[in-house]
Amino acid sequence: MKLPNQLKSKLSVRVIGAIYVWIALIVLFAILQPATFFNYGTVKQVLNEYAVTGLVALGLILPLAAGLYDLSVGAIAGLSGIGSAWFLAHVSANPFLALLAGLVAALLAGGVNIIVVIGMKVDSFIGTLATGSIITAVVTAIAGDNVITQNVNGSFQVDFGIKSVLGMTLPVGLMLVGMLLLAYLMEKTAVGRRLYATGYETEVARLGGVNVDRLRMATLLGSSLFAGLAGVCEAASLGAGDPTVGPAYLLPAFAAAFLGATQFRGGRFNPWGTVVAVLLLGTGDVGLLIVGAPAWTPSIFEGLLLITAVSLTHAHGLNPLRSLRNRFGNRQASADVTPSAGGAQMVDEVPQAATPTLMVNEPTAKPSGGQA
Amino acid sequence: MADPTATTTTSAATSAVDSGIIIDHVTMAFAGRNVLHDVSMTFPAATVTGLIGHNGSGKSTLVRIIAGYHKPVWGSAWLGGERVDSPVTAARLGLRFVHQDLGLIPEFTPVENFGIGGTYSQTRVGSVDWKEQRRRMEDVYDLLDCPVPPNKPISKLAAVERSLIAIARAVRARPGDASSEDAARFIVLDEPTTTLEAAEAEQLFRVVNTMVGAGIGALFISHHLKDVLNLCSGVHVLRDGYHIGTFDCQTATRSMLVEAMLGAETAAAERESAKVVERRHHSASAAPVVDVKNLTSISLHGVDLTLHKGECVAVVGLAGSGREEITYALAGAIPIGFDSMMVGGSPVSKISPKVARQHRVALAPGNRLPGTLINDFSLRENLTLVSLEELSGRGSFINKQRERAKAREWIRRFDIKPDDTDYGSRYLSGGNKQKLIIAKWLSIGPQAMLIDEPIAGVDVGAVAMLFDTLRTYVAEGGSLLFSTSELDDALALADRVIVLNEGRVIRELIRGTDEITETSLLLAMVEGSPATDSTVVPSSNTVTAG
Repeated sequence: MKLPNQLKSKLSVRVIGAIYVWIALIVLFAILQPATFFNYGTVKQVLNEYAVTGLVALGLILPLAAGLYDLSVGAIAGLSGIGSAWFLAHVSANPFLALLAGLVAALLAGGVNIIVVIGMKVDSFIGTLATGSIITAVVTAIAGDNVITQNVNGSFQVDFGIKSVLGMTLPVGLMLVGMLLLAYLMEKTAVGRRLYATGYETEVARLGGVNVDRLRMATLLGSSLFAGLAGVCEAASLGAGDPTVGPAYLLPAFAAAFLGATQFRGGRFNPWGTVVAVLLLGTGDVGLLIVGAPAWTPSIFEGLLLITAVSLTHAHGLNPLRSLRNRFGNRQASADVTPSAGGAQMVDEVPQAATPTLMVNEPTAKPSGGQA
Repeated sequence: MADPTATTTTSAATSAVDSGIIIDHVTMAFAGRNVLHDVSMTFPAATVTGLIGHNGSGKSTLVRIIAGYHKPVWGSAWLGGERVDSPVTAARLGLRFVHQDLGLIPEFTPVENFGIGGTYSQTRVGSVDWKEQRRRMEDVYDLLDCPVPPNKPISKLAAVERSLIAIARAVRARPGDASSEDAARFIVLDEPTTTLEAAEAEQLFRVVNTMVGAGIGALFISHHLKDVLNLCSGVHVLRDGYHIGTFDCQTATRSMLVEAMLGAETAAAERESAKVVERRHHSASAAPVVDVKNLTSISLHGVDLTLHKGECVAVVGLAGSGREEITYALAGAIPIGFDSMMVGGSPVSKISPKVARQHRVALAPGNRLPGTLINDFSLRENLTLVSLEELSGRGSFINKQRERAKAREWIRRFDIKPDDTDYGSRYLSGGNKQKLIIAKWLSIGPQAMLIDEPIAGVDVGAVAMLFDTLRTYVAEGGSLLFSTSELDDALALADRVIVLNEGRVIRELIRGTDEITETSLLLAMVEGSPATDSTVVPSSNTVTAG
């Protein structure tokens, strides 16, 4: 009797609602355009195009789980893409060195985030908004408003962008490997537990002996690394370093991370939910275009999905962002972290002991409430 | 109900029924379970009446019914002769609340806070007339006969000033004023003294009495029975949803109230455990577990302190004496300086909660303080958060079986309810939360435990259990240092009491050598304080408790 119940609760709309929405979308599009939508080509298209978004989103859940925003992930994806392209055009045509160069650029950007958010203690929302803008400017400075194609559309594109297994390109594999790695790290290890603890109640984690700053630094590097991989993959699949593509990943990545948090794990940012959300997102976007909706509709779909995801977390009483909310909404909470602001009760009475009272200025009379 | 000691006199119902609160045969159920059973009681106008009962007794449900938030299954609540059927009605009838957290905006000044929840007076162009607002507030302060707070953000004011603002805001206007529609008729005070020192609480009580003298009724909810006896005229006791009795505070004693709250049997057990247990005298030759020379922080100015193996030390002092910081300072959770420090028997050059944890020294803030539990974690995750290292092997992979087994063991040992390892910690009662906090740290087998306010906000039943646990821990060779504002704790648990004053150790009292009573502690606390000019004088007047 127990198993069906367990299964039932695991399949409930509250737990995997996004999967039902996903299936509904597939059915809808399959009815509208059975020939062009419902085939393996669409599966390949969704996965290949959205695996890059998936990588950005997977990286993003690390800082989010630790209670930090990283609004610079889109810009960092752009930076690593342009970085590897520039490297190919100006330094060496070796695709692996170019990949490395792109990742190094991304990690450097992550380092800047660390300096600003951890070192200078600028609120992560504001800090990464600012660094994101700076990084985007740097990208434009490197590319000079041009698309870099020299050597990019060579073996680099073939190796990282075109070669495929069962029609799936490299980013799809990276996304799946990334998902499994993060699932292991976040859900099975002590580090992961501390990560969530830090995100939910920083003070509990800190007093429990967690080096909160170091953990958060690692998450910022993690999100940059994933964004860096995404950027290089994007440049490879385009066969060009395009300075404008990066920032466009920010919104879908956030939508996927937040929608993902409503899935499977009761409000925690988690890789499984994130990947499902990315696929839902991709299916919606691709499907809309296949059924002939105007080109601006996917953006509306993504925006609506982000709003839905966040409102769902609230409707379920879930709180993936407790510490973030505290930082913005409740300044008193942070003031309370100093123990001196903590509660202090006063002298109660001891049985069978003399009971003097503390008095102020004048002897306190028994309250003259007037009851006989 | 059938409690022999309860003097069930509903004498309260005699006077001024018109403007008081009447609970008329109220029965309330949630999800088919009765939480209030045919409760009838009266809170007369212009009187302070207490309402006590430990966690889960139906206290808050009753208050919510009075506020109009819940509709009772049977019976009804009346205020000022009108039936309360919605929060809007309750507000219109002049019912106001002063919640434990006060609900003030820390960045706002008193005047700005004063208008929240009421109406703002406006100038002709529609902007807020702050001058008029200020006049209104001063008028209320005048009514309450207490000094108007300075025009500073709330966060810069003393705790008692904040409480008074919340009360003044609730009063809102002079009763019988031209704008008396706005004036309060009855105010519910929910644990108003929790953040206050005794002297401050007395000040608050004077204001409440003035308020009551001006014709506003008060319903006083508190865990502090002494405050209840001190302030209230009468007190209603709830237990498990039943109205156990009504006591006259002139004649009632603390133990009568405890017995009514807990039932005779549990009360006896509680008295037993609250009794000061004579323990073997700790020998000064025992190995020091924590030792610090010249400890400094924002409020500590050079403290030398040693905690020996198998010893229990209490740190007491007035607010601002450094008492609130000492446990955090010893574990390096706040910025500190020191000449030398030894933790867990070995000297360290720097200290942080992480270093302390490595030396198996636990830092546990009490219930309701920041840094205790993660509400979004399950019981299991909270319990094992500080012992993950022991539960994980290579690659820091957590061994799920061992983790579950460990969580189950500690939940059973502490009798935490419910005993489901995957239960959400958010839904635990205050007492169970505190058990969870202590269990979490005891599970690392600590050499020393540093606890800030071990029983703040914990109901009487859980206190007895926690005390037992901590005593056992010390008896088995553990070392415990706790800071507390409740002298009861210090008396019941400690082998040695350290009294702080202005960031320095002003007195050290050792059980068996010195007399440790509430009086001696209070004397030591205020001794040498420059603030003694008028503020705090221990008096030989005892509370008339019988």
